[in-house]
Amino acid sequence: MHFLESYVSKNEILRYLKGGNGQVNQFISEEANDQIHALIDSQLIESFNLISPKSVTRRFNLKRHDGVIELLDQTDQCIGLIYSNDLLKFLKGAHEVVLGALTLGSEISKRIEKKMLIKPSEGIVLNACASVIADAYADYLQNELLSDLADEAIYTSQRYSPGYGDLALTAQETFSNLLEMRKRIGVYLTEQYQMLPEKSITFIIGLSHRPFQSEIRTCGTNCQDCKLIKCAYRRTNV
Amino acid sequence: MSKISFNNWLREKARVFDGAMGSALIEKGMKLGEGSELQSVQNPSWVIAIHKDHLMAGAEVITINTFGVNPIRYDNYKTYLAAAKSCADQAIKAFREESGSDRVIKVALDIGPLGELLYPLGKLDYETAFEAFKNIAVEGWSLGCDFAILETFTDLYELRCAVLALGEVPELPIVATMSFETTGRTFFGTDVESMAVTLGDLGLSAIGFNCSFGIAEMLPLVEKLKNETYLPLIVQPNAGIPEIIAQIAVYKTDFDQYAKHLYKLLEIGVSGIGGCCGSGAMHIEKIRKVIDQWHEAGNLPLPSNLVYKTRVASASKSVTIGENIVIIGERINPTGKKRLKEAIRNLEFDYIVKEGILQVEQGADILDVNIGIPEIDEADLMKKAVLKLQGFVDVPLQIDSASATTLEAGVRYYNGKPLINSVNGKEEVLNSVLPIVKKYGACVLGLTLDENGIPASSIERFEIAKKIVERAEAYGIPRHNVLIDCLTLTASAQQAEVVATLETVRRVKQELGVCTVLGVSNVSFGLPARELLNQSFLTMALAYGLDAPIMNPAHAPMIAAIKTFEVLANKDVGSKRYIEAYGETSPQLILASKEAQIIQGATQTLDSKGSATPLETPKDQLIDAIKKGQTTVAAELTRKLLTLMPAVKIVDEIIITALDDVGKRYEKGQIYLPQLIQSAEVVQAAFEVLKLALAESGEKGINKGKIVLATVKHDIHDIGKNIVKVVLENYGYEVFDLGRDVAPEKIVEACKQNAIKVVGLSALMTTTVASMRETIALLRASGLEVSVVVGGAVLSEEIAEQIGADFFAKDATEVVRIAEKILG
Repeated sequence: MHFLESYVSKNEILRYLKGGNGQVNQFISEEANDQIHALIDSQLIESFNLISPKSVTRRFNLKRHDGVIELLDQTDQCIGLIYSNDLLKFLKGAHEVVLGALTLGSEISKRIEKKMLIKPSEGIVLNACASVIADAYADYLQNELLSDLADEAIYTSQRYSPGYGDLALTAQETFSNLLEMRKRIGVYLTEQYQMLPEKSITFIIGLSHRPFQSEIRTCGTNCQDCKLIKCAYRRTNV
Repeated sequence: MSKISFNNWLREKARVFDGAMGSALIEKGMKLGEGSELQSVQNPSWVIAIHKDHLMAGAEVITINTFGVNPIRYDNYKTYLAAAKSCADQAIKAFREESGSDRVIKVALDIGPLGELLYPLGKLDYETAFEAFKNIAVEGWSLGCDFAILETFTDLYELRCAVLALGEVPELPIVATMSFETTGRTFFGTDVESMAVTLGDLGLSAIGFNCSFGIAEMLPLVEKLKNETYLPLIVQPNAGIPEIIAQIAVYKTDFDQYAKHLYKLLEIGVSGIGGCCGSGAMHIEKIRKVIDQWHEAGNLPLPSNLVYKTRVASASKSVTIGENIVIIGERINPTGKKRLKEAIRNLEFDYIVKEGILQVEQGADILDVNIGIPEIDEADLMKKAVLKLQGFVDVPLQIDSASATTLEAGVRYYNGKPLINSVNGKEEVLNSVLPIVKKYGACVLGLTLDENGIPASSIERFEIAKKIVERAEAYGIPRHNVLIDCLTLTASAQQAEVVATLETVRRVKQELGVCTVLGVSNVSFGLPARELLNQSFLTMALAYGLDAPIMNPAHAPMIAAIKTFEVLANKDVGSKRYIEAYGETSPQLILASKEAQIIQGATQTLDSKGSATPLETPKDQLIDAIKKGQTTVAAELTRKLLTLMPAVKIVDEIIITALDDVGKRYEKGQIYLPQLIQSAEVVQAAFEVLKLALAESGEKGINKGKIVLATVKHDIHDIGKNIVKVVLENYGYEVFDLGRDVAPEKIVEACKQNAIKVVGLSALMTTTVASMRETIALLRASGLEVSVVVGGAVLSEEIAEQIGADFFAKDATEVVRIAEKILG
């Protein structure tokens, strides 16, 4: 069994497969239901054979200013800036942050592209599986981080990513430099700061001596309730 | 210093390379994220000190601090190159003064990846990258570097480009190394064999690994590489697997273990050892000590005892010819194929790629690629076809053309070691094709014909084969890179000469020692039941020593001939592959056509399920197949239907009716998206049959109207757009799919050229909705009368209106409704 399997939610995959209309499929026939589940199962097996998960995380001290966060190295010199008021609010109370990047590798993206050409019905499902596995991997890394910090009596925030709220995708450049993403996990940025291989995630997690009380929702399922109005991933027609 | 003397120096003794620069600079005080290469100018004393430490520890090679320097990143790259060389020179001078040593020291020009992805994965143009690498080499050579070392490459395509570019400085010796993962592949999926085969004949002085991980993890890869190449090996591992403490990677080395592993590397036959990340003077000192002891014990690096083999490779898969029978898939060749000709003319690369993928699934080990039709720019098209195909199929390609320009276009952009098809005994052809084979380190297929045509006798054909092999060798092409096609003649016209072909195969194989290839199906031309003759001829040819038939892998009896031969010739030891293939099949099924099998299978399932109302007419059966998403029966049912009604009627009365029904169920939430698409796939399969029939009868195609689709500029997410494409094609629309990340100008251009009335634009992110707005504005400004439909996760009716679109579609079925409204 793959170490990420227990982190994967099949309901999450089904959510991706409802398509543009996003209706709850209460009218689905038993036959169609069995068929979709069988399809997901087969593509999940294929996904786990194709992925090679890699990640890099690093801890930084931080200094706050109006609208900008300074990331500091071990000698407290500034080595990177992140511009975002929403992130500043989100990180309220944090004394340190962890920057992280993960990827599932290029094989799975290649296979999705190939399937979209010869068998799109499977391609769509494989794509959904990969997206959900990437999120699952982020959950896994967050759990690892929690257990690493167990001795330090430190609380962690939720994950926050470039593209959420007013944290522009340009921040990817800072992640890429400080995490050496190209060299360590083989992730490149496009001109517009999207990541290649596609199934990759960057994130920031706050560390604090007190529990986080952030009201800002960070991604997942419910865009309508989310306060991050300018989010790059916001779905308006859900 | 010439290439030859460098090569000799490298082969004389095992050599000590140097340690890491980047991690040593961080220890000196360089900030994380800062460029190491800048330090040659900003803090030259650091760089000099690091070089000197390595020299004092016993290094024979100084790798100058130029890893990240290139003309794409720095306009003033020459300044950084010169500063880095100067640091090395100063370090060597200081070392000589302090130690009094006259040790021979080689200065290596360090070249890393450019930092951007090459097209089509990224945007970096191949020729731009080529120029960049070439300019670094020219400058480094004029500064007096002794050789170039290419390091930390993970994309074989970029590395091959770099090696070819460095080849433009003919005297510059080149060492090429890559970084691997513990999976035995690079980030880009290249394995050790493909790396060795692809780079093996490109004139390198040495090949190897660097970075990645520690010496222990690298050992198995080194062992593998030694068995794959006759080039000297250079290995520069990290100082172990780092622990990240605060932000710094900390390497801890157990030096006793390290020494043992070093010894093992020498035993395997490595010619040069250095260190990457985390390796400092202590590591170099250890390497020096172990190598000295090893030499003192009377050892020297082993010359390669590799048996030369005929091998080709893609970036992720290598194929050896001359062991198991290798199938070269012949179907990407427009001769006699109207549908493929049409696809080539319309630049429908998807069709060509599908033909490739299918052949691989049917058992092709290599794919022949011939796109020669009149009135096209064949070289440009070959380049595009190769770029597209290699993204989707992992088997090596055989670049097939009568034009040397086209051959070069194909092999230049190929990511691997291709097989060139072909050269022959004509002087002009030998002189134009063989230099290409040599330059790109490829294999070549030689045809036994010359200025006088195909000789009837075996003796004359053998003479031509011999001439080709000898001429290739005169060009410096190793014999094992030459294959010979003795040319199949038709039994109906030249019955007596069929055996002459086989006799030539036997002699070429035995006397010239090269592998043989034959296009088998020509033999039966003009006779009935061709498959029977083809099958027997193939079996005979295999017995005479044929290594690689060029054939259609869809023909089950031909595959059966190969599989049975491999058992009887003791190639399939233990009959493993044979049992795997046929263990549970009856001989009748193997020999029957594939489609008949499928139909038979389908009816059997229906019967066994005891379907309540047996579906009697092919019309009902096709409707049922579309609704249930059963692709396999679609083609045969459509062929049956074509004998009963015209194509247009099949579309209107059967396909559209069934699709509408499926679309409704999707809208009601009774099925999921993949199930809608499964039905679309059935229709796609039916359409291929209809298109083929129409192409052959010369009738006008089914075309309800033309639509341009694109994912807008800066957006690389195109799954949604692809779904819309499939569904629109299902309804008989002709879709011009411009792909993803498409500039507004390109969309306007496509609309003008094709008199387009409907444009579909897709965007997944709010950041790229701006590109959508820009595209719509440009379409309006250009005065085109087009309706713009927009869609994608972040779009809504409201946003669509704001950015000036005519329609918002929430899903693919809605795009169809809109298209019907506008185009009918």
